This record gives sequence, structure tokens and C-alpha cells, in this order.
Amino acid sequence: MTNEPTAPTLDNLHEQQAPFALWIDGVGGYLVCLSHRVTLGQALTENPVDIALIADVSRHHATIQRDPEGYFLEAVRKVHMNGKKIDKALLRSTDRITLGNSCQLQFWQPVPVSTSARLDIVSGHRFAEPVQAAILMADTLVIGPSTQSHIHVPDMTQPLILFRTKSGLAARWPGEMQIAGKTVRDRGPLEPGTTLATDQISLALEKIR
Amino acid sequence: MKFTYHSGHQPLPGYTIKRGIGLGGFGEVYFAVTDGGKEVALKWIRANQDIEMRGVQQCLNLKHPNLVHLYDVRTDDQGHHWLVMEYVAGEPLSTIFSRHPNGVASELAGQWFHGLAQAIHCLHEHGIVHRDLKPGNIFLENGLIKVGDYGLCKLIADSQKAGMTKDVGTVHYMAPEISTGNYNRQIDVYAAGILLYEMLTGHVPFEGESAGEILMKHLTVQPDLTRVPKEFVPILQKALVKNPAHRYATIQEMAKDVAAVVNPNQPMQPLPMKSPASAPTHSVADYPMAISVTSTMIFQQRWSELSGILLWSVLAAAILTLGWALIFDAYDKLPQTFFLVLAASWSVLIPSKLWLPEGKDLQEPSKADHDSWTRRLLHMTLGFAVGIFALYLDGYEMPLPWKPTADFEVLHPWQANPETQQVLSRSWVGRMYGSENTSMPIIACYLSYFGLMFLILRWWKTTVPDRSKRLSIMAVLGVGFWSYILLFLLPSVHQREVGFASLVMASVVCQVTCPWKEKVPVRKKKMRLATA
Repeated sequence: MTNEPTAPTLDNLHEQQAPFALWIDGVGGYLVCLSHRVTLGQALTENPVDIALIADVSRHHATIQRDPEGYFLEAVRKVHMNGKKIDKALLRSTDRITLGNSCQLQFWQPVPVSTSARLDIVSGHRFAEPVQAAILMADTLVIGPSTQSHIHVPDMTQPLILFRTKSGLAARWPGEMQIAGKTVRDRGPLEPGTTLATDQISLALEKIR
Repeated sequence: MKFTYHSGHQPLPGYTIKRGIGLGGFGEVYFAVTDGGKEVALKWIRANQDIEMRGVQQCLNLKHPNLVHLYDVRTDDQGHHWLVMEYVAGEPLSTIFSRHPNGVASELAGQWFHGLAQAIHCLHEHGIVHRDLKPGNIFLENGLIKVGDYGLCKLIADSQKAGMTKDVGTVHYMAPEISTGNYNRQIDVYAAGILLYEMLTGHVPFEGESAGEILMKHLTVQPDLTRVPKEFVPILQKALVKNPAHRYATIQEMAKDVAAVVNPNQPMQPLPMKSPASAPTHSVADYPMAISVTSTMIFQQRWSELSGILLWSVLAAAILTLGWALIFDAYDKLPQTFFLVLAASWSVLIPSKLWLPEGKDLQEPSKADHDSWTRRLLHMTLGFAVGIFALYLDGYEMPLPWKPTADFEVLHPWQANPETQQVLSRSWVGRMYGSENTSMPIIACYLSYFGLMFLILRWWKTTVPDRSKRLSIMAVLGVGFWSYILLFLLPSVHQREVGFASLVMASVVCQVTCPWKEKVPVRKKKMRLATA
């Protein structure tokens, strides 16, 4: 009976939803947002937005909400989608979001079977964290050789999949992997602060903020 | 990639490693953030602990927008040397070249070359020869060229002498006089010439099986400049000349000539994005966009590649059929065989070049093996079409019920023999049966022969750039073998000859016309050492 998972308290629920940085050796860094509602705004030390941008945008400029129907972009300040001014709009893969006058992001859903999405800055601006892209992780995060991966790593021969479990995150890899130094097969739990290595890829999850 | 340090490690106080970036010839490169929040690249110089750091120190305070800045040289507790550098978020040209296997537009190449030349000029002005210019050392960040790995090059040369292994790829950019130990600034001009050639064509001018072979070509073979836009030919001739005394004396001279051709003062033209209509109208357009390759661009690129291939295939088919007719004395079958060879090879070439899975790298279409059957079925459908075309070439009319039973007509001048005349003069149903003893309707014979031939063999394999040989005799024999097995399907001797010969020749045409990229073989360490 003691093994039964305890109901998540508000505190550790919040902890679970906190964005983390994913550092992949030889590939890049990614900001992974787990919450179904992410805020976008200017990077200021006291500003608690999920995706902080070093750009001429407001403190809280827009929100992206993941619903059963898809991702909705809600404007708080001036937002254009594909060149059209919007207040609220459903996002589709390859849509371009312009926050303010110059900061432009592209929204991708590269994996057809996954609702997770990816945001890339295409205007030369930067995220507050030194990462290449932000990933809005719904169910899974696919790191693999196919272009239909959230993170495309051409040198791999098979995908590494990060997925959500009741208590947090886990990784799936057909074969052996080292998670936090321990060897596991096929799948194993992951938490921010750990490293994972297979024969083809090595990465680390880092708690941020 | 196996890195010694992981995210969170602090080999140098004040620098926290976030991730590994790459493994170079002389150490590991990491992305790190300082305690103050500055992003840097850390290079752990492992090549030799006793190296003189003078070369690096000479470059430490160079400032140029096109150079990757060096911040500091540090030594950790264990006595390891670390080079602290500017972190470049962009991609190396090697990655960009692999996405553009046919090169980039002249204007873009001109802009990139301009940046490259400025960086080399700055180094030369300070008495530094780069010595190791290659696409892996040159980055593109927000449209700006950044040259890295300078100052370490002396070190590389020394480590080579010390017997250290080294990336074979570098020999592609090595000037001929390096063989005599001559390392002056002319070698950077030569390497810049090779890089310009590669920007324009997607290939280096000298490729080969081994480092020795490539070096030999640098020494003796004249570069093939037919693939280069003609306005660049004189520039490349002068930059790639074997004798350094006849080469451009300075990189500035070469840059001036390139500038005269492309005018790099024009504003940066970003490559077209997925849908131009979606581009915002505000100041975002002024930002130099990161280069991204969209599917439309890939399609356009393939289309332009394909049109060239199709033209060549006409020539190849004509030569082959002519040769075949000469050898076998089969002039009467010449035109029909020619058209059949062309139809068969086009039905292989067109889908192979245009139909690749979305976003697949052009250079790696062979990875798309998982959809083998979809491809086979597509080819079979095209095989049916070829069969019907063959039927038409043989002088049969299509069995269209609304067509009146035509009077006898000679469809093709080469069909004026009594046998076919007889066939043609029958009713439209009868017309579809052969004049010889066969129980199958002729249309079924043709469809099954050509359909099966296209279904059984993986024709697209002969068109991929990374096939093992340009012209594989085994592939041709394979076609011959299966064709021979299936020949019983065709009713008459005449048709069998044409059917057999045309498919075998089509297989040759496909292989000859499709571009082939030689693989650089992974060579044994011993051999690398021998040539290094």
C-alpha cells in the first residue's frame, strides 16, 4: 500500500510544471515547457514569464494555451500571425508569430502523432536562456534522425523519446542507457538535474529559475 | 560523441559547461556560461600539453566582425589548456553545404566570400596564416560569416609532424605547395578559391578515394570549371593556379574581382522562406534571417537538377541505342528502341529525383528504404505506362471501344512489315492479340513484362548520389537477368529483342546521367598516418 503514488500536492504539481533546459551534446540547448499554458514576454530578472525573450516586447506579451483542439495564441499586446493582426488564433505548424514590431517566432508541430510543439526564433532575437528553441511538451518529446522529430539529430539511427508519466518524466530508448550514472534498459525515469547517455546521444536536464 | 565533461561541470572556475558542441582534431569544444551570464565556447586543447601557446596568444586580441573572437587562454588545476572563445550560434558552412548539394546562388556565394575574405585579410594583415580554412571552421550566424580556429593552425601542423591523426577532409583545401613545406599566405588564397568553388557548385574540385589521391590531384590536375558560373571562371583559375607565384598575391585582390562579379554591397537577400505571403511587412524583413531550406526550395533544386539529367539522358540513350544497332545490325528497330529506352529511363529518373520523403537530405535518399514498396508500386504503375508506350511504338492502337475499327494504317514508318500489317488490319479486339501463337492478349503481355520489371527491381537505387559506383555492372546484369527471365511474356522475337535491350540500356542511362557523389571511405588509422 505504501508504494501507491501519493496524490500530487499543489507544490509538487507546480514543481513538475516548471520549465527546464535540455542540453544535448553536439546538438543544442532547448527550453522545455511542460505547462499547458505558457506566457511569453520580455526577459527581465524579476519577470516570471515561461518563455523570456531578449527583444523589444512587453513584460507579458502573449500566451499560448494548449487545449484539446490545439494551441491557441492569445495576444496581450500587439501580435501578428502570418502578417495579420490577431487577438486570439489557433496555431498551425509553420505559422509565424510576430510579437511587437520585430520579434518573430515560428511555430512547428513536426511530429504528426504528438501534440508537442516547438517555437523557433526566426528574427535573430534570443531567448533569455542560451537555447536554440522552446519546446511546448504535451505528451512526448521525440529526439531522432527523422525530420519528423521535435529535435532532429541526423546522426542517430533510432529516436530517443521523452514522455510524461504520472509522477514526472521518463525516457524510452530501445537498448541500454545511463541515467544519472545508472544503467537501465528500454525506459527509465528522468528528472531535472539528471544526465542521460546512450551510445548515440548524451544529454542533461537542468532545472532553471 | 563522447565528451569528457557534462552539463554542470566547472573545469575552469567561473565557467559552467552546458553541453558539448563538437570534437575537433585537437580537443573537445563545449558551450559554457560564465557566472556573469556570458555565453562562451570552451576549447580544451588536448593535442599536446607542451605546445607553445604563442600562436594563440598572437591572435588573442584580434578584432574583426568576421572572426570568431578569442577571449582568453586558461589553464585548469590539472594543467589542461583551455581556449575561451566567442560562442557562435550559427551553423558551420559544412552543414549548410550538405543542405545545398548543388551550391548556392552566385549573389549569396559572393556575400559569404566577401566575409571570408575580410577575415582572411585581417589575419594576413597581422601576419597570421590560417592554414586550415575549411567549411567546418567557418560559421554563418545571422547571415554573417565567422571564421574560427585560427591561431591553432601552427599547432595542427606540429601535431601532424608528431604523428597525431587528423581529419582527412582537410586535404580538400590544401594548396599544392604545402607538399614542399611552404606555408605562406598563398595557401589561404588557394583554400578560399576551393571554398568559393564549393559554394558555387556544392562540390570540392578534387575528390578522391584517399588523402594521397586528393593531394596528387591538387598537385597535377586542373580543376574542372565547367560547373561554375562563367563569370567566376577567370577568378577561380587565378586562385587555384598550382604555382603560388601566379596566384592572387593577396586575398583582397581576389575579393575585389569577386565583388566586381556579384556586387556584395547590395543588401543581404535572405533565401526565400516557406511562403513569401506570410512574411511580415514591418521591420522584421530587414533582419538577416537564418537560412532555412523549405520544401519548395528543395523541389525547385531537384527540378533544376532533374531537367539537366533528362537532357543528358536523351544523349546517353541516343549513343547507346546507336551503338547497339551498329553491333547487332538492328537499324530497323533503332527509333523504337531509342524511344523505349528514353521512356523507361525517364520513368525511373523523374520519380527518383522528385519523390523523396519530405525534408530528406538530397544526399541521403538511400535512407528512405522504409517506403520501398510504395516506390516499387509507383514504378510498376509507370512500368504499365511504359508498356502501353511500347505497344504504341510497336504499331498497336489502344483498344478504345469508341474508336471505329480503323482501316489499315501504318502508324510508324518502321512498322511497315507484313506481319504487323496483318495484325493491324484486324478488328480492335483482334488487334490486341499477337500474330504468333499466344493465348495472352498482347496488351497483357506488355503490361505484365514492363510492370513486373519495374516492380521487381529497386530502380531508384541506381539513381541515388551515394551509390557505391557511378555505373554498377551488377545493377545492369540484374536488369538483364530479370528481363531474360520475364522475356517469355513477350510474344514475338522482335519484341523480345527490343524489350530486353531497351531496359538494359535504360539501366545504363539512369546510372550514367545521375550525379554520383563519391564517398570518402573511412580509412584505417595506419593509412591515415602514412599519408598525414
